Amino acid sequence: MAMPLHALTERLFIGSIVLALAAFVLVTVGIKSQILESAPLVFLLLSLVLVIWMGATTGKWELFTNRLRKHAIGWLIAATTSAMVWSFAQPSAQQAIPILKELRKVWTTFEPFVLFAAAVFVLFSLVLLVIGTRDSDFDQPGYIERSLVHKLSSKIAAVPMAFSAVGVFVIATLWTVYHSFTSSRMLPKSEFVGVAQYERLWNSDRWFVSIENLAIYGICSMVFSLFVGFMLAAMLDQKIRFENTFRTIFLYPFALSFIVTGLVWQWILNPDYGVEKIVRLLGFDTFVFDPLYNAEIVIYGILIAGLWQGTGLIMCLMLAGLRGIDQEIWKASRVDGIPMWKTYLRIVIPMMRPVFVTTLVIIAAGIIKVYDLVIAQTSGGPGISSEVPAKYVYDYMFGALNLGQGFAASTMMLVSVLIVLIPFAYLEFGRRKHG
Amino acid sequence: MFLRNFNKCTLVATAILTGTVNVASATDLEVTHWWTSGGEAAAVAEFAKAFNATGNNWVDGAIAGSGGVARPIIISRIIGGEPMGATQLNHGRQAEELIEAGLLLDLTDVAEAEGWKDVIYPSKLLDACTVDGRVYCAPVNIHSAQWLWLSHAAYESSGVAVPTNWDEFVAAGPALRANGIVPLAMGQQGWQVGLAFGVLSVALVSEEAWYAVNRDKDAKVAAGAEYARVWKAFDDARKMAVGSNVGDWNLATNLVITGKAGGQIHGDWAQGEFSVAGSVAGTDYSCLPGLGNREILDTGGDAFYFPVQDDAAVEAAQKELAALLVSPAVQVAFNLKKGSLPIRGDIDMSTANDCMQKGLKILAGGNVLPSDNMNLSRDTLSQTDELMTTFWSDLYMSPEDAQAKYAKIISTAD
Repeated sequence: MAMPLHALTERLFIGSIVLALAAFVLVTVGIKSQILESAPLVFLLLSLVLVIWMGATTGKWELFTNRLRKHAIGWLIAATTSAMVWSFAQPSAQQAIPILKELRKVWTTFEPFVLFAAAVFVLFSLVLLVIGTRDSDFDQPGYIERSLVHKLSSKIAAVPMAFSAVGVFVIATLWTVYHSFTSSRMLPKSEFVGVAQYERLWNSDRWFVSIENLAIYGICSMVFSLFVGFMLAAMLDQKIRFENTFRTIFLYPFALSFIVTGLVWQWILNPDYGVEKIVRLLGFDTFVFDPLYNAEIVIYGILIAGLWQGTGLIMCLMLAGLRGIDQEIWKASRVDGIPMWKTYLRIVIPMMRPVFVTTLVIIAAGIIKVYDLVIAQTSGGPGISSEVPAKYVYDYMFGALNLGQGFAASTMMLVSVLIVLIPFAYLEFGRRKHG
Repeated sequence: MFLRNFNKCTLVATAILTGTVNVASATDLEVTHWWTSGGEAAAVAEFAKAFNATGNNWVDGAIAGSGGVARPIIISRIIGGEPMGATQLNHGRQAEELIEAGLLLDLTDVAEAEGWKDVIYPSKLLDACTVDGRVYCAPVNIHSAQWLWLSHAAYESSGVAVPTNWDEFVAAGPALRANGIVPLAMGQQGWQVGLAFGVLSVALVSEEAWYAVNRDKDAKVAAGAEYARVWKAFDDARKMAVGSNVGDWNLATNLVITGKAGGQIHGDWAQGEFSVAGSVAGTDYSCLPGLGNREILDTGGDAFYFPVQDDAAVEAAQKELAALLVSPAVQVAFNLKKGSLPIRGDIDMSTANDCMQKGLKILAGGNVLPSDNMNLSRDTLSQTDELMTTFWSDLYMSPEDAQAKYAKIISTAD
């Protein structure tokens, strides 16, 4: 019982030192709130008590046994670093010792990195604190040191990836969600307003229009690009002549950016010199085709451009999937006299399941991020009838200088993605594990 | 071989880098702005010339695109700890939070030494730069939005007289329509439609009601009878604009210049387009300040802000530039090229054209209002712009509904 308890204190000790350091850094960097200001002191005190307590429980009162010395040194380092960091931030200390001001300048340069590292450390220490309880190895003394050194090179190699993954996906997300409950305007600040930003969001006409547009765009582009892409691929798969040429033609739009695509289609759909004009020149004087200038159907005008750009890629993916089907299957179905469409529907498409999953993910990602196409074609017009959620986020964060509102909208986007993604991931990955 | 080449490359690169550093003296000042069109660039060159003449070095940081593109870049640079020496912004409430965060240089000593309080006219401009009694920006010009630009050719070919106020303009609409001319040109962008609404409200409601809504954020007045008249006029305007399928404002102005549209409600910067096209004020086009109903202008415009920098030499250069921007000679040179009105009442602008003279006269008469940027936050302005452009494009939305929504925005405005 003595050993595990000792290991637990060790764990708490390391955790508290890391937390204390991190909290100090956070305070310096400027996230000044009551909790954070006193937290580091509490943590430092806690770790000091733990060091003394560990010394007491080992039974030997010599302070400088090997392990205890390590802990004591660790505490000293944490305490001095924290004190230094703290003193940088104090104006009175800066006045007393001018050199601190210079140090502070150096410090300011590294601030973002330090903030970032601190956040990673906090997560790391939390993981140490929590995970250890389920791992019996952890109860042996020196586990933390050993596990840190174990396969060190691969750990070092993974550091950049881990940093960016944690930074982008965890910290930035949490930071965004946190600030969506504040009244942040141009600068992020911690004035909580509850769900006021969300209330305003869901009372806004523009947000509703955006969601509606995304839904229409999403469903249509999902259905059409899959259907058209598959049909094109199936046709190309019939061993036709000039297959390479056709493939190139169909894939070519994908080489264009959304901005170029949007501009080209803006011209094509413009009633003054696009399709409408040409058809009128042919003699149909009352012909009307101006999707980009009609609030009712503008989103379909954008959809046309999106499909034109994206279908080629879907076709290529599908074609690759079709080529992956064993020719023997075709021969067998022909021998059995099964009609071609039935072979596709009953045999080939089920066999292409992985290709369809990949394609779905690619299409879905394209739908959520649709933004530049709208900017290039209509800038959200006429009125607000072609707005999309991503544009709402950008406009409120940078145009209206209302970060809180933009964050609330982006949090809603995240939530909706999660609602779709979690059951999907559960089905997809959960099944694999069981099977 | 590759390595040797690479070394050569770095050598050249270092040489170039150190070279620029050597040329640039300690008082380099990077100035960011979004004046990139022909006339604007020429105007800003006047500033650069004057500043270089003082022995300092103007490093031009023009950002292509409009304020909507440039403003986020400028603000994120200041917040991100990479401040420029000076930057253009529209004075008013855009920089409010930057000032609160202590990121902008206090120019009070320059303002006092140069006596800005006495020379800057109208004084509202300086008020917009002042927070808690301290001055934080140097205004450089005045742009007003309250103008109606009219094409003489469009009216003559339709057989009606060129209107002299808003009501005549509306009455002449059907005649133009019958002639195949769009009575009102309007770019399909939120801010242009919002601007038109602002102009109509300035021209059609009493000054008290206007102040009640825009300054005191009184939702009752915004929902009241006086503003109902503005919404009625706005309803007329959107019907008159049916058929003008253009986006950018200068394309809309071009419709007026070529006589394809009767008129355009737009700010005085549109005048640059007319002069580039060689049109003459009074014979080819005319301009009605305050839509011809009320001769009144707002005093929006541009100002320069100076982000705080931890360097005494840079700070000195910043203050020198601030003083220079307001000085008489620079003001005349700049504003003649820019087509905007100067911020001083004591300089000679006799070389300005017809429309500018009209504007100067109104300014001298003191018929001025603070601009939207001074009264309302960006957040509120984007909401009203959104409402205006929705109303404009959705012909089924009644003016009454829109007015109710407008009052709701005003009730939560700040």
